[in-house]
Amino acid sequence: MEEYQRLSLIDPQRVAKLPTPEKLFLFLSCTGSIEYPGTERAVRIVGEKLGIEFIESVDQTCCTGYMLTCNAVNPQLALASTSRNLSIPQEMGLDVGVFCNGCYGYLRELAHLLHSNPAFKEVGDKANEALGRVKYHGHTKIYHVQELWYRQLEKLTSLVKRPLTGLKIAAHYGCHYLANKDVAIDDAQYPTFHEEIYKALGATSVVYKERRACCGYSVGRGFTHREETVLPHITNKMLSAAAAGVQLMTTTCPGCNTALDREQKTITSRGKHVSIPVIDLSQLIAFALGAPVEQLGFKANTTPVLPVLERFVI
Amino acid sequence: MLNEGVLVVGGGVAGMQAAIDIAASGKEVVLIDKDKNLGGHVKEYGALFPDLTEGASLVEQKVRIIKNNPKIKVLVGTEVNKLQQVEGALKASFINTGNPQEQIFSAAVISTGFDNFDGKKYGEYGYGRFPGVITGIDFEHQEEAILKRPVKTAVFIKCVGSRDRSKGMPYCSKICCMYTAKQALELKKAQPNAQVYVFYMDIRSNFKNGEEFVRGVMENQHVKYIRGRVGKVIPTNGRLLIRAEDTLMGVPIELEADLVVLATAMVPSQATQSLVTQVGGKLDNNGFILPIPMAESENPMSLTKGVFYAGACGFPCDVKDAMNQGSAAAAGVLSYLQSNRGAAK
Amino acid sequence: MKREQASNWSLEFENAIATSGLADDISRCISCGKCTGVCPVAAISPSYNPRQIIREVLLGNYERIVKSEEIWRCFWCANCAATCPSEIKYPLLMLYIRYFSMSHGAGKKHVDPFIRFVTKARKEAVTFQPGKPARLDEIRALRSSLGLAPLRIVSDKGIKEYQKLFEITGTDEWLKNYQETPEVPIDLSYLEGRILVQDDSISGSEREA
Repeated sequence: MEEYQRLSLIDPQRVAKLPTPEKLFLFLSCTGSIEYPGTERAVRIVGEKLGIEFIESVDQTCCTGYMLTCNAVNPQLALASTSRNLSIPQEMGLDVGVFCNGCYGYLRELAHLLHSNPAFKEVGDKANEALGRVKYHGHTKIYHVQELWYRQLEKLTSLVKRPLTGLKIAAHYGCHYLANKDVAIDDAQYPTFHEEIYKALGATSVVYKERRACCGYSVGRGFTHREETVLPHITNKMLSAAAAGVQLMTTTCPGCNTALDREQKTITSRGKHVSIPVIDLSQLIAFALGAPVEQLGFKANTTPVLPVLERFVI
Repeated sequence: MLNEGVLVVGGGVAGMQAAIDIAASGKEVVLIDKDKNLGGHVKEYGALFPDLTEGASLVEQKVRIIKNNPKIKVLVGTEVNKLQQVEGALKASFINTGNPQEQIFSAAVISTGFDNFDGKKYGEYGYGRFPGVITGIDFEHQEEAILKRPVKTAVFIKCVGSRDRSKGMPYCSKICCMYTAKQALELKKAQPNAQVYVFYMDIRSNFKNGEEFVRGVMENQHVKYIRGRVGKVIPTNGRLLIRAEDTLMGVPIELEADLVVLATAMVPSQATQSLVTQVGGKLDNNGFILPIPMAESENPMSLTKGVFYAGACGFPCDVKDAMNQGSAAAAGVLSYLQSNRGAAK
Repeated sequence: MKREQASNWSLEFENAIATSGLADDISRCISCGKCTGVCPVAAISPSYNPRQIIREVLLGNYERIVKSEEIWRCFWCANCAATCPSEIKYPLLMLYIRYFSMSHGAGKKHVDPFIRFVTKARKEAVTFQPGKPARLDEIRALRSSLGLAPLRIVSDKGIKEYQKLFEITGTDEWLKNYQETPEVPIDLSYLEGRILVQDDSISGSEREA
């Protein structure tokens, strides 16, 4: 891994352009709130340590991207709800921080469609008008919190309370962040910035064959094509991680986390043993920064997390 | 005052040929190159089409002719930073061994060549990251070492940076099909037991004997051509895992290789742009020289008054074509000087 | 085998995509196969082939697309879009193809499982909130222990506005239509294809040796 890091394709200019905000609108993720609430907590903890105050709004609804991409609603609903949701931080004068690749990808793509297609913009504007809201102007910036963490990597390094020495961690970046290849801070084909974060936390990064492979759960194929394609795919991915000696995997998306964590039980029950705890990158950072373990919500995980982390708790 | 000296900017094969042909008629030529040696990219190439002459020996021959002709003054390590039309002549400013100089010329040839596409722009192929992934240019430069290192499987990937409007250039770089076939052949000759695959989209061997050459590589050397652009290279178990689709069969395939050679695109060189715009010429959307319409010029290589161009600064071309263009530009210069003198008298 | 009749091809589909504003101009496709090479679904079920699907659309072979089982397999990982040299946003194309198929009454079995999520989200403005009391209790307990609200709160105002969006964007009507459209039974006839090696135990390197 060392040599890939040295030759990293991370774009320093894009990283330098990222803000170090004091205040940010936190866009909540439905999957995150339900499946892994520890992620949301961890995001706040890391934000606090870095001096970022997260403001949320109870008026924010689901991003509606999942239902759109499952073809279970018409595109107009997703466009309108994006327009509506983004009008909330716009009124507060805040940029948006997202901790779910799904929400991130959908907000960005739909905001782009709203911005670039007058017919779509009208759908959004009409909706906001009918609700008595301001029109969404399309200039609110949308960041994934992982980018903001990476932006302050030096500060993070200085804040580490539990160096993760000897822990072999591997990354799952998630497709819907990398799909935004024109704004992602790293090369979408072979990103390495998570590995740099692991290094900053004192851990060892491991490269596995299928690190760039998808989690298989996006757009609901876990419901419709589970046996046919999703399970063989996840099995292949997780077995390649196990073969590389991965002890812990991180994600930046509660959806991916659900797929990679929960399905291990099924894989094992089918006779191929795999047990690699999967947590959110923000949870890992919060842990290394010394957050109390009970605040990180590892109880929600199907594959037990503590066996690999407890040795670092003093 | 009429100065009949001719400036040639760029001492690759196109520029050298132009200088040789102009000087052969007795005109004074100043041949400038930013590199320390003449010969451009070609001096580092191995065998060239159509007759498999070594690049180095071709350059040696041209350099010998140039050295033997006192009419040609060579300035290497020199960059032309200004070229302007001044009262029917051309004023060039350049820096030679730290000294800024200016000189008036009556005509000029721009033969500033091309740059190689940066293979690192394709993160999916891991150039510069994964050991064993090289470019076709690297292959030419380190041919001896590469042919000696034993490989079980080698993969050539064509169209890296060419025909890619997302990360590269929309055009076809024209020469990659031929040099890839040649490199595959050389590898097969050096290591007959190596399995060699070439991933292609179309085989564009539109050169004399080109089709026969490529067929020979397939038929006699049994290099396997697979129609499909490689999707991904993944380093695994010390080897390189290739994922692609065999588009003729419609099947995704996977294979492990020890050597991956990327046929990178020819892209416009930085130097071309400023020179061309300074003399009032135009560039096309990709940054190559925009030729004036055929029916509007007396010489195919003319750019603006007294200025001609030759070689890959116009568009990717093979070595033979670059020399042809150099000769054509020289003919343009000579006939321009002839008619200009007539007008002056 | 019966030859495909070019006279059966129709531009209706390609034109519909062009006017949808969702997918970019797919006639830019150069059929290079990079998409299929990196596609995780094609790697598992090669009868799903993104490159061939684009060709079907471009040729106007719309019968086959509408009735295809394959179009429902895409994971939407966007590996194809990330690598496409022609900047085709395949996932958006796929989204549109699925809508198109649904408008012909096909593919309902692949959409039906999500309608309950929509019905529930319309009530709560949050997706995936489980219905089972035991699971809800579990979530409440965990969230409370982390100092978070027992369940994700969306204000009444937020929920009302979300529901209003269903009305004003025609989603309620769209859903009604969807539910009333009978599923068209698909008569699947696969073309005879290549015999694939099915045995996973023979790895590539073993075969090579």
